[in-house]
Amino acid sequence: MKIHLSRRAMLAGAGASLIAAPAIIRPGHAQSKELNVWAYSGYITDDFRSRFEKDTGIKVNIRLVTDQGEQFNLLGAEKGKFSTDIVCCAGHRFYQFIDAGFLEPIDMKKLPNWGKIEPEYSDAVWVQRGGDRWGVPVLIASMGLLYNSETMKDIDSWAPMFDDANSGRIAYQIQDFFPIAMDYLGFDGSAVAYKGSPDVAQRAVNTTRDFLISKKPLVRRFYDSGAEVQQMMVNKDIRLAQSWSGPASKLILEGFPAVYTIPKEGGWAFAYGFNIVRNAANIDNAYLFLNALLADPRNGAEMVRSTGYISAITGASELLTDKERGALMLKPEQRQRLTWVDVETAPFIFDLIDKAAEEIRAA
Amino acid sequence: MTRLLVWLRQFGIYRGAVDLYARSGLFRGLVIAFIPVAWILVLTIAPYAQMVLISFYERYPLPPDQTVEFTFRHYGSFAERPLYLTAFIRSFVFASLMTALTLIVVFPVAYFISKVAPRGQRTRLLLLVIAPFWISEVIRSFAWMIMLSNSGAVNSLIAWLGLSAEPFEMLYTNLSLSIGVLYLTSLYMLLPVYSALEKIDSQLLDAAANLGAPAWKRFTRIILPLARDGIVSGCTLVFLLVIGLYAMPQLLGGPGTTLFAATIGQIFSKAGDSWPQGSAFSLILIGAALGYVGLFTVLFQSRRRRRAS
Repeated sequence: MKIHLSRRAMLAGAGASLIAAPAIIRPGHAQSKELNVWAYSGYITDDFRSRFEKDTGIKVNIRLVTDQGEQFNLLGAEKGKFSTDIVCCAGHRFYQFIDAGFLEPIDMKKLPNWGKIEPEYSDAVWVQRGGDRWGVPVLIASMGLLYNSETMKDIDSWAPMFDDANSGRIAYQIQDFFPIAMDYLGFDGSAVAYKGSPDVAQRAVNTTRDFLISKKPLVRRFYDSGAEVQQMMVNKDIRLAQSWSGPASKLILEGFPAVYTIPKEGGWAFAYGFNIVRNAANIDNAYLFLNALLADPRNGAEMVRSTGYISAITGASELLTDKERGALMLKPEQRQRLTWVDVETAPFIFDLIDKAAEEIRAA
Repeated sequence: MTRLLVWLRQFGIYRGAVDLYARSGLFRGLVIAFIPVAWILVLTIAPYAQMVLISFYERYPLPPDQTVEFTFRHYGSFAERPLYLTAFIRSFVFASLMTALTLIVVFPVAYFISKVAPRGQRTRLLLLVIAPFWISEVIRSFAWMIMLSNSGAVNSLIAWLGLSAEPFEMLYTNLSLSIGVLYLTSLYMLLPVYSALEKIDSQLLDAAANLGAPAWKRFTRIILPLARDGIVSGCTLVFLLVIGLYAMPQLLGGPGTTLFAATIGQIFSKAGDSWPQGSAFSLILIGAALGYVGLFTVLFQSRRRRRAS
């Protein structure tokens, strides 16, 4: 078949192509039947995602993230034209995200299922700022001590983390362990006591930094993710570590001989939430997603099983087995030892700790 | 295709361009060079230019409604904190030692394949050596983690042989990192060294042997000088690869093996406005590494090759 293409037709075709190009190359995140979420592994379970996609016809695109800094920097690089609709902020870091202009306050009228969050968490200070709520708390985490119960017995203090007897068998995540070390040395890891006294805070951080550098030869590894601490425990590379409750619980649930405890000097608690970004392209889908997530305690129980953390959704813990509850729930006396990370002072103290962590690593 | 070219001839612009292409060598050169030059400019130079720019920003990413301010302070901060210098020097020492070690390990392999193995077997042997490099760096690092952990294959073998009941701590140490890096870099040394050795005329070695030159003399007087360019190329590649390593030290290294690239990575991954400092440190590392390699090349590359380049 012969095709005669006149110059006019050619130019018309090219013009039409140019006009159509923006539609053709339009990014996926601008489409109305999609939702883009940045979340940690296991925070959105496959079961919930399938149900949500089937019920609503909205496709959920998940980008897995590994820490708060990664999300913050990605949002910063996107300069207000965010490729995601929902991010996953830790309660003690979300002030940084708000101050940077990355988040949208929650419109409570669009979230009728807000009441299905445990009141202890829905009214917490780490959800609110300036009279607005800035995210939906979904998982509650603690930070404590994880040890191999075959090689260590009945530990109730952070002291073995600094003991020469455990040289080469210790691991921790520097930034998260730092406030614990500050408390251990008699400083205030929350920095509440240092409000308005940055010099005092800096001295406390410097002393703790020097202490951790002096104890660095005892450390087998500074890890970054929960999977790493699980792996090191299973491979018997370490026998004790500072750990988040999620990876610890999962390890115990899978039958590894380990104990997770909050030592007498104390541990830390914080929450992870889903937060809507400012000018989210699919904001209605984001509210549909959050409402669907909160609607059924089954979603919370599934998240607990996939992450090892405690669900903030009312009724989720009742759906767990006794074994799961045993591995996940802390004893009352251990719960009392937990301190919630102070959201007001967190950005200030974490800024100092981040710098100290660089130095500990480089030393 | 022919029909399309004939059809295009009706356009004046096309005819003019074709005529110019036929007449002008310069235009031909420009047309041919356009794609590679554009590729380099867009994908290599542009990100570096952006990094240079960001390194002079006071802060980045910028908070809303803030204007850009310029400063040199991020370059100054490198010297202000001696601990950065520790990781920096550690990186150069480690990269230099690993380059030397890779050369020592790989040279005999390259020599065997190029000079000892039968000619018909060389390609097969090269393929055998290259095969592991079809797998990514991260997966190979995990393989070494399985091998070297306290309950890994090596310690299990040691325990099974009854040599030691207590596992040897190999993972997350200089040893595990060195093994992993050596495994990673060997190909980059092997190919240029093999290429240089392969070009050496075997009759030269035979003649030297017939004239009574012992093996060590043949090695130092013939093989090494003639393979020098390949060795310099291999060392340059390996050094630049090791100095910028990030993933493998994260997986196989321990608290005492932090390299400067990991320090930069940590600065970038911090939630905050620290990209300018990360950019400044990256440029310091790039500049110092290129200077170091340049000096190495000037000192060791043959004069003939230097003149040619």
